[in-house]
Amino acid sequence: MVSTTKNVIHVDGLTKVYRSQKAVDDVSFKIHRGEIFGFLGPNGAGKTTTIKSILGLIRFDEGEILINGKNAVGEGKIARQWIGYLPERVAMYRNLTASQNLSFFADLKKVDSLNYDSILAEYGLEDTGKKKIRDFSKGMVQRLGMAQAVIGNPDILILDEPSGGLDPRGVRLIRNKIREVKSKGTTVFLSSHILSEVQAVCDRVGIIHKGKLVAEDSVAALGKKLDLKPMITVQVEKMTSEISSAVNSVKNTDSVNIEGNTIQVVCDASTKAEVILAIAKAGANILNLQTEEPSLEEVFMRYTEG
Amino acid sequence: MKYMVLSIAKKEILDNIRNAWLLVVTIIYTALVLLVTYSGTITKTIENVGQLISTGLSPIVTFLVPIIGLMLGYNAIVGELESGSLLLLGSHAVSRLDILLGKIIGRGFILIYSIVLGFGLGGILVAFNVPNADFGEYAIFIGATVLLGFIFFCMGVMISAFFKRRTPAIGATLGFWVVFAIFWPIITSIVIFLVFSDIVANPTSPITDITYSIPSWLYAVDLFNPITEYSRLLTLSIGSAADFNVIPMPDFYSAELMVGLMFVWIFVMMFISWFRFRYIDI
Repeated sequence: MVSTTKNVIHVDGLTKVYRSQKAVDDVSFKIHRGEIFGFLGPNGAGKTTTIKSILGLIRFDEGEILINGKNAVGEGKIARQWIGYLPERVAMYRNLTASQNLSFFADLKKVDSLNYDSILAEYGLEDTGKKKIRDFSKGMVQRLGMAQAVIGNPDILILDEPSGGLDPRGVRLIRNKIREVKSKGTTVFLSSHILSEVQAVCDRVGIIHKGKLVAEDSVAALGKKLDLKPMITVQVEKMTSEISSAVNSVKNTDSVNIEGNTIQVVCDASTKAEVILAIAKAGANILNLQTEEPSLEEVFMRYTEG
Repeated sequence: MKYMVLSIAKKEILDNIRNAWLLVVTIIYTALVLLVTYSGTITKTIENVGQLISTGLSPIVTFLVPIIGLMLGYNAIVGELESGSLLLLGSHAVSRLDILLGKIIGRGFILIYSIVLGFGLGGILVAFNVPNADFGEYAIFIGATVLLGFIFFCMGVMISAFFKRRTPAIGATLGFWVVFAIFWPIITSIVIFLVFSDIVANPTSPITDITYSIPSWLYAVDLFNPITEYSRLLTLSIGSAADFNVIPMPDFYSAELMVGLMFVWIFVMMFISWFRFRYIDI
């Protein structure tokens, strides 16, 4: 029976040492029920080590991991029954067909009588049920890996770099699947170094750098903490010197950039109205107006630089 | 647990039964029986099943079956570890013991299947060629061969649990085979030569029966090889088997003791495999 605790995954003080080097150093975070948590970090930051620790695939040196309240080490077998997992480097049984592979993993998840052909079609793998994995491309194996992870509607879905080896169509498919499982109540733990992927789907992010968790919050909240400000982009019909001087005269802006008929201003949300008013008062005909919140890239760069 | 073990065993059978070598091995076993029987009847050296086993089959089996068992086992864990599929398998609600038992049962089934089918088919054909066909003796031979193969298969699985890459695991596997199948008779010969040269040089009592002069630890050396147990078992139960053993058989050697020791080998190998595998990082 699935527990109803708020924190689906609770990692506390996780430390893993490889040959006297700390791959993960005192990492703690909580993943709440039903959210999509992005786990960001450069390659080699400790993302996969953290995931493998959660899944009981490696033994860690210090800390505790709870999954729905069950200890990932002592009660790993119980804890893992709630998890669907897509590894970074998906490998399946090469001598078996796609359907046989799915059937085996469905067996392990204690799910029976599935229509494998329709599942495969859902993942863009039509007519491959009888094809052996050895004849699959990397992208096809990745899609099949995602299909096996989602079998049985797991309570928690852990995806380690899910877009690796996928073409843009595959990336979109995975993204849609993530949204789909979230709508069914699944908690998603998405590890990635691709910022746009995380920004597109995640409710909260954790940033891991050199084995340490350096930040954990929503993208907007992290931006706020770093005092990152939104950027307004205004497109006018015709740029004049009056418009230009009016924008530059607004106080409390961080930067003003004018290129052709486009004006970009970085400022506080409270100054935003003043900027737009100044442009309008200078006689501009505003064609388009956009506000961009601080990007994850900015947040990420600020937390991981140095 | 039982459900998970059987699911994994089923997967192992499906994954391995398609391997061409399984077919090849089965054909080799059958061909071996036929070849030995045919050549034996032509030269009139084989007149019963005991002779077939002793002069023809068991000497070849003691080389062939261990290497086949080892080759089926060495890949069990390291193969999946290297390919990465163990990551996916281990992420499910299975324990390391479930995985290990599933693999041993699945692959073990294939090993037993190939031995029983290959030699069984050969045996049926032998019935038409050997004048005094004793199926009881032949069944003992098949049973003993299954045990021998299973021991070396478990040894292969144990080796598999100690490596992260397939290539060094192959090296270790061949090393084990060379030691047990080739070097052991040489090692025991050297040991016994040294022991007897000492006894002959310094006799403390008249040597009436050679077995009384052998120190008991030498029997431990003799029995520290499953192939010894196999050939002794055949000698004790069929009466005549090819005996490469240079140490004479004492009274306390019995078929039951040999079978018991063969099971001890299996359990020890399985225990070491589990002890190692439960701790490794995937």
